Formats: sequence, C-alpha cells, structure tokens
Amino acid sequence: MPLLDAKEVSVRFGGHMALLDVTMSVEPGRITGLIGPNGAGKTTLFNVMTGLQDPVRGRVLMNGIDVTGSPPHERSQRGMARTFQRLELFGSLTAYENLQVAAEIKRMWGGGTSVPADERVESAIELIGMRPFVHKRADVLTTGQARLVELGRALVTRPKVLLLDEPASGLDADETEYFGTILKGLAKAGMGILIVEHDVPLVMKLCSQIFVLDFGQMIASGPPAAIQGNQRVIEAYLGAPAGSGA
Amino acid sequence: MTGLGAVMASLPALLADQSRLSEFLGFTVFGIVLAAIYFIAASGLVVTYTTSGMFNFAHGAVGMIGAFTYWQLVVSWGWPVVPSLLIILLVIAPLLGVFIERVVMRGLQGVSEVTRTVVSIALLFSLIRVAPMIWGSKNTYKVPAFFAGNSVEIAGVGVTYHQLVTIAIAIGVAVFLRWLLFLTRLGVAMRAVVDSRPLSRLNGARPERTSAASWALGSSLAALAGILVAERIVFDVVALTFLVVNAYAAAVVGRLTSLTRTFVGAVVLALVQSYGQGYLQENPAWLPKDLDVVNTVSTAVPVVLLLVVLLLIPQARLRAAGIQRSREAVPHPKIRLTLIGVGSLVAVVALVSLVMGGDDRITWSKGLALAIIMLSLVPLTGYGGQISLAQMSFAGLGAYAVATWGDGSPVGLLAAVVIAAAAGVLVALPALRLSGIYLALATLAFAYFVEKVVFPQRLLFPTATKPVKRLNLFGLSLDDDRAYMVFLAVVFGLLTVGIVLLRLGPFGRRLQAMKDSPAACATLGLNLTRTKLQVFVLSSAIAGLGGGLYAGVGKAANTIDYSALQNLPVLLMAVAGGVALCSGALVGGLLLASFGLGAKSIPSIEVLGVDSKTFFTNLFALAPGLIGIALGRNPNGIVAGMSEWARAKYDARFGAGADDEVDLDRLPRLPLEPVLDVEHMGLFRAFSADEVAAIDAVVRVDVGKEMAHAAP
Ligand SMILES: Nc1ncnc2c1ncn2[C@@H]1O[C@H](COP(=O)(O)OP(=O)(O)OP(=O)(O)O)[C@@H](O)[C@H]1O
Ligand SMILES: [Mg+2]
Repeated sequence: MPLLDAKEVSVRFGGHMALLDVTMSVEPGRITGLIGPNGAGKTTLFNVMTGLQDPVRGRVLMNGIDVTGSPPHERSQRGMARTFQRLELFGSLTAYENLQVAAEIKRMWGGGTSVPADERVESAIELIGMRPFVHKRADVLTTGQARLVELGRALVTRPKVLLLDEPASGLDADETEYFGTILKGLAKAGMGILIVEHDVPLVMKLCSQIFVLDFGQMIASGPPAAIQGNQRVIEAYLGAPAGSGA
Repeated sequence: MTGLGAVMASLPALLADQSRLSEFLGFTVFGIVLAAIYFIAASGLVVTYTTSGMFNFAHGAVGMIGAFTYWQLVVSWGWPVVPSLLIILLVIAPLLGVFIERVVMRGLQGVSEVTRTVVSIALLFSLIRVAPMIWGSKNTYKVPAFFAGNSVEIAGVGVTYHQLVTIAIAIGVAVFLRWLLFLTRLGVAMRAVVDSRPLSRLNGARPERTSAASWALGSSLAALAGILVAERIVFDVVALTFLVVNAYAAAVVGRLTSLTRTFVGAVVLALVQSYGQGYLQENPAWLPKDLDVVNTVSTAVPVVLLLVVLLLIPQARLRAAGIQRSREAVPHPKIRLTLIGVGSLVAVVALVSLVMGGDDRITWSKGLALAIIMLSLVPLTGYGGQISLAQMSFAGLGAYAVATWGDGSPVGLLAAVVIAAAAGVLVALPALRLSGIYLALATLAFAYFVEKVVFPQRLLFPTATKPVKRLNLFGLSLDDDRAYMVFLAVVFGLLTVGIVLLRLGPFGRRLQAMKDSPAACATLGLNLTRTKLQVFVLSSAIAGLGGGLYAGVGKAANTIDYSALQNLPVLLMAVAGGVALCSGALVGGLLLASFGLGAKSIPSIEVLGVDSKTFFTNLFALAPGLIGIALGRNPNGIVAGMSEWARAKYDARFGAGADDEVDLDRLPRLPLEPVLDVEHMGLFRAFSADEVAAIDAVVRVDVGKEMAHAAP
C-alpha cells in the first residue's frame, strides 16, 4: 500500500485552478520525483498533502487512512515531514536548536520512541554533516546550509514519508552529490521520499518513479526512462527554450 | 426551543397591538441608523486593511478627532454645517490619514506583525491623549443634528431627518466604495498593493501613492462615522473612541476584507443592540435591580458578537512565509547574568527603599508592580509573538480577588492567579485558532467589557474602591512600605528567573519557534492552538498576580486603575523596554510609573505663555504613545538598544572582540524586503483570474534566475 496518496485533488485560487484532479502516490522505500515548470502547482500540492492548504475537491490518504480534513500537526504525528522551498527555519534559534525543537515536539506526543531528544539530534547532525555550523543562528546560514538544517529538522521526527521542496537549490555540486547519497540511504531504510526539484538530471538519477505537473494537471508519470521519452513532457518542460529545466 | 416557540406564537398578537408595533418599528429604525454608522466606520477599517495590510487600531480615535473637529467648527465657531463637513471629510481627515501613513507607518517594513500592531496601538493612545489637550477634558460635548427638529412619520414612527441623512450617507458610501475598488484604476491598484509591493511596482503601479490614498480614504470614513455617531450622545474622548471600536466587531464578521459581510455584521450588531436595549429597558422586572441594563447590553453585545464570530470563522490557513530575517533579534538570556541582575536589583531596591521618601516609595513600588504585570508579556509577546491588550484587566480581576479573599494569607493572591487565568482561557480560546490580530481585538474587546460591564456591577463590586490587605507571610508582615517594596523586587526577581529558565527550556524554544514559523511548527507536529493557549494562560496568571500585588501598594483596589485604556500604556511600555527581555519589563514598568512622578515634581513656571507644569504633565501623559510610535525604528526595545550601544562604545575603545572572539550573533542583520516570490503573494486574499493572468505574465520565471540574469 502506498504511504501517501493524493486522489483527484483540486485547488482553486480565486478564479484560477492551481491544481485540477491531480492523483499521485508515494511508495515506501523509494524516491518519487515531482517535476514541472514554474507555477505548475508543485508547492501547492505539497501544501495540500501536509494540510497547509485545503483542496476544493479530492482526498489525501496516509497508509490508506483519510486525512483530508485533519490539521498539519496530526499528519505530522502520523509520520509525515516536509521541507519548504522558501526556507522556514526558526531564524532566532541556532541550527542545533532547530533540530532540538523538532525532537522535543516529537517526544511530546510520544511517537513511540525511547531515544532521548539530544541523541536523535546528534545522530541527525552526524548524518547530514552539519557539525561546522550547528551553533550558528539559523538566519545567518547560507542557503545550502539552511536546506541541510531543514532536512535534519524533518529527519529528527523520524518520518515515514518525507516531502522535499527543491532541497538542492542553493547547494553546490559536491553538496548535491552528498545530498543524493543521504536520500538513497534513507529510502533504503524504508522511508518514502517525494522530491520536487528543478535539477532534472538529479531527479532522473535518484527517482524510481516520476510525476510531471503542468498548469495544475498531471500530464505524465512513470519511470525516468519513460518520462525522458514522453512527448508531452518534452513539450511542456524539457524541450522548453534554453535555460529552463536543466 | 419551547421558549422560542412561545415567542414566535405570540409574535402576531404582539405586532397586532398598534402601540407594540410602533414601538418595535421605533427600535428597528434606531437599529438601522446605528447599523449605517457602524458600516461606515467598519468599511474604513476594511479599506485600510485590504489595501495596506495593516489593521488600524487608531481608527476609532481618528473618528473621535473628526467629531471633535466638527464640534469645534460648528458649535464653537458657529460655522455652517455643509462647509464644515466638506473641510473635515475632504481636507483635514485625509491629511491626517496621509500624515499617519507617511510618518508613522511607512517606516515599518521589515518589522514583525507584533511591532506593526504595537505602533498602531501607540497611535491610538497618542490621539486619545492629544484630544483633551486641544479640547479639554470635559465630558459634556454635544453637536446638533442635521436639520434639527425636522422629522417625517413613516408607518407611525417618527424618523428624524438626521436619521434619514445617516442612512442615505451609508448607502452612498457603499456604492462609492464598490465603484472605487472594482471599477477604477486606483481601486484595482489599491487592492494589488497589499498582495505584493515589489510586484505591483513591477507592474508600474506606485504603491506608496496608492497606500497613501487608502489611508486618506480610511481616515475620512472614520471621521464621517465619528461625526454621525457624535450627534446621538453627550460625548467625551474615550466614549467616542470606543463607540467606533464597536464597529471592529462588524469588520470581523467581514473577516476584515469583505465589505458585503461587513455590512451584514453591522446590521446584525446594531439591531441586536437596539432591540436589547429597548426591550430590556421596558420590562426589567426579572432582572436584578442593580443591573444597569442599557449600559450592560450596549457594551456586552459587540463583545459577545465579536467572540461568537471568532468562534465561527474557519481556521486561518497557515502560510509558509519564508524565513524572516527581521530587524528584531534579541540574544538568548544567560542564567548566570540573570541571577546576578536579580540579586543586584533586590540589593539596590533594599538600599533605595531606606533612603527614599514616602511618596516616592509608593511610586517606585507601583513601578515594580507594573513591571511584574509587564513580565506577563515577556513569554506571551516576547517569546510567543502574541499580542494581548487585556493584561491590566486581568490585573484588575486579580486586584479584586485579593480585595475580596485576601485577609493577609496567600489565598487572595492564589485566587487572583486562578481567576485571571480562567478569564484568560475564556478570552483567548475563540481567537487562538486565528492570526494574531484577532487575539489583539478579542483582548481589547474583553478589556472594554471588564471596564463597562464587570466593574460597574454593584452586586459584585459595591464600591469602585475596595481596601486591600497586604500579604502576611508566616507572621512576617509587609505592612511597612519598605518591606513591601523589597518584597515586590523579590517577586519580580523570582518570576524573572522562572521566565528565563522557561525560555532556555523546551517550552521556551517551542514558543520562539512558533513565533519564527508557525507553518514549520505545525508540520513538525506541534499543536499551535494548544501551545498558544498554554502561554496565554501563563501570561494572564502572571498579570493577575501582578494586579494583586499592585493593589497592595496603595492598599486598595480601584477600578480606575484597570480601565480598558490602562492596558495600552502597559503594552506600549513593555514593548518599549524590550518585550523579549525581563529587564525590558523592569525598565518599562519603572518608566511608566515615573511618568506620573515626573509630572508631579515639575514646578509651575510660565515660559512663553505656557505653563511648564501643564506642558510636562501633557508630555508625560503622551509619552507612552510617542515612545511606542518611535518603536518602528528600534523594535528590540530600550534595553537591547542600550546594551548594543554600550558594546559599540566598548569595541570602539578596545577594538572589536577585545574580550572574546567575534560573536556571530552580533553580525548586523539587514532589514530585508521580502523576496519577490510567487508563493508569497495572495497574502490577504486569493487572486482573481485576471490578476493571476497579469501576475503570471510578469513573473513566470524563477526569480532567483531572473536576478542572476540581471546581475551580469
Ligand atoms: N496563495 C496564493 N494565492 C493565489 N495564487 C497562488 C497562491 N499560491 C500559489 N498561487 C498560484 O498557483 C500556481 C501554482 O503555484 P505553486 O507555487 O504551487 O507552483 P510551483 O510548481 O511550486 O512553482 P515553482 O517551481 O516556481 O516553485 C501559480 O500560478 C501561483 O501563482
Ligand atoms: Mg514551488
């Protein structure tokens, strides 16, 4: 059973349909990609899945359980975590405290773990390699560092499904490489990962399943090879004039 | 249900009775006229809110200024009505609006919503304090009705020309606003400005100009409402201001953005108020004799309506607003420094209390008690980013609890804490699901309710002043003023240590995180409503305790000390001192108390025809307002500002980092304008189809890349 399902989700902003009957799912142990040109509705779909945006139609299921109307914190407690395209760090706290808060919140509602908050924070710091800047305030970090902190913060809640909104933008080549390795490791451990990314080669390399959004509609889905050869995708996205996509 | 059924069944019979019917119609006409005034006032609020994104707490005060100016021209100088109206509505009020926008509001980009709200509250306070300096502080002002003495009879009910004119004006305003906002270039630009300043600039609009226009318009509407409502009553500054404040409830029905729903809100509010006042005045047999029905109903209705509407408003969508690199940054408190500070405070107070004169001792003790009340804002506002305008009202409930149950034992203070906390739950619960502005409104409404409905109940409070017995702990009497002063310093110190520990612990971190990014907190599993409720209860409990202690200073609980208006300087001075720091509360409390002292100690000398005593009394009365307005420049408050200044001096003399390595916390932070971002738009409402099309035409590009192109 998929960890996360969006079924025929539609979102309207005024007279503009930002999403129209979008259906997609995230499987455990795999990295799923979501791509599409700017303004396609990717972030909006993330917001619907995490409960920050109510859809006008459609449902969101976690492990087969309907969570459509439930608030963000309940979904998180069921095992969902995300990062934000526009960083949402706790700017007045240090990087370390950003993770600490998340671990403490997790402890507050139980979550069935016996690992102390500090230990979990430490292991996430090691995993992500954020040791050099753990004691800096979050609002003075570089974008690349901040993205790592957001990832670490999501990870300390030990999510079953992790949604990443453009996690590699702002990272340099080495950081991106390392980032990919971490994600693969997490997926191997059974986590379901959904990634929105403009770095198409990265997506192609990491993902086993890719969904393509354009103007609020799902125009294609399938394994990387199929997407690469899909005519509609090429028109909408990959074949667009120089600069976009790659 | 049966009760309602019975009423429904007897309704035809009631209406058949001719005199009953005309009475009913009379109340209806009264209600409709009131609705017209509420609508005009509320529409002004909606206009400024939708176009500048700023809820103008000073709206009522602008209306009050308008009414007083009208009184000045028409009554005092005997000018004819029409030219006076035109001058006020087309010249004076718009100028005041533009002045406010230019001088006060424009400097507020890159500051938090808390600071912006506080500045507008400071403006409210300043206007309330300025008006009596111009017009005196009598409460016997009266303006004539339009076409006084003329009325027509409609269905057996006399309707004055003034009432007809009021209704006609409201209809005119509704039509005008509809036309302006939806059919003119200026209106469309106004509605676009709020959504994204940088973006509308890209489109060739001039946001500064449209923003000024909307403030001018809002200000005129406030003045118009003020003038219309002034005719109904013998007025004074505060009464008039709060009459217009009733319209806030109507605006909340429209969720501060919809004129149509605001209109519905105004009608419901006014009719309920009118029928309630009318019918309850008629047969009060079943009501307690001592209940002041008219006053109670007219005050309670808007407050209750506001709270009910807040309960009904659907939960605000959390917005991912992006990391805020605001100008507001206060370093973490350090427990060792806190202990040293608290220790020295107690020592200094102990010393000073010995040498101080009796009157001064009372003043500074009040300052310490005020500082304790302000401490209640540190976790709530400083850490959690929530605004309360009712801390002094909670303090008042605490003071009365101590007066009622405190016989020297701690029971009184315990009751103060419990009652204030319970009241806190009641006020906060409806508003906490929503954004911060609604909590500020709910608490303001509650403060007004406490002053006008709770305190005047002679059943509960037979007299406005109640004697208070100070605490008598284990035979240790605090009856001596010196002992009490030291005791207050000790309580302040203990609370400070507690709050600092809280800040350094998990709860404090959560509060800080919630302030920085509610959206991220929610997606990490934090129940925001519960967290806000917890901190609000803590805060109102501290305020209740502070109120009990404050009453102990003068050994009396006096309702005047806890009026709705008293909440404003408490918030303003706490924020001015630095609301994220306990030391800021201390500075705020002492300053506020010293304003009273300062005025008293000035000798009376004539300088250039101005009496120095009057001048300084006025200045001190105005001070919290002026200081609050100045906050836009230094939102971190006095304490943080001074320590930064001292540090800069130190660095200049000994070289930066003379005593330690470079502190990354202290790198200068830029007042960043928010980055242009599609996700950031629609801050206040969703776009319509053509707006989205227009915007997409401009920014269907990744802004990051666009900027990279721009910089070769
Ligand atoms: N709050 C809002 N109000 C109105 N329209 C919005 C709002 N948020 C997003 N939109 C619109 O919805 C559409 C989808 O936006 P979304 O942010 O989901 O796109 P995206 O695929 O994440 O784009 P990007 O790659 O630039 O991040 C866009 O046309 C955008 O203008
Ligand atoms: Mg996006």
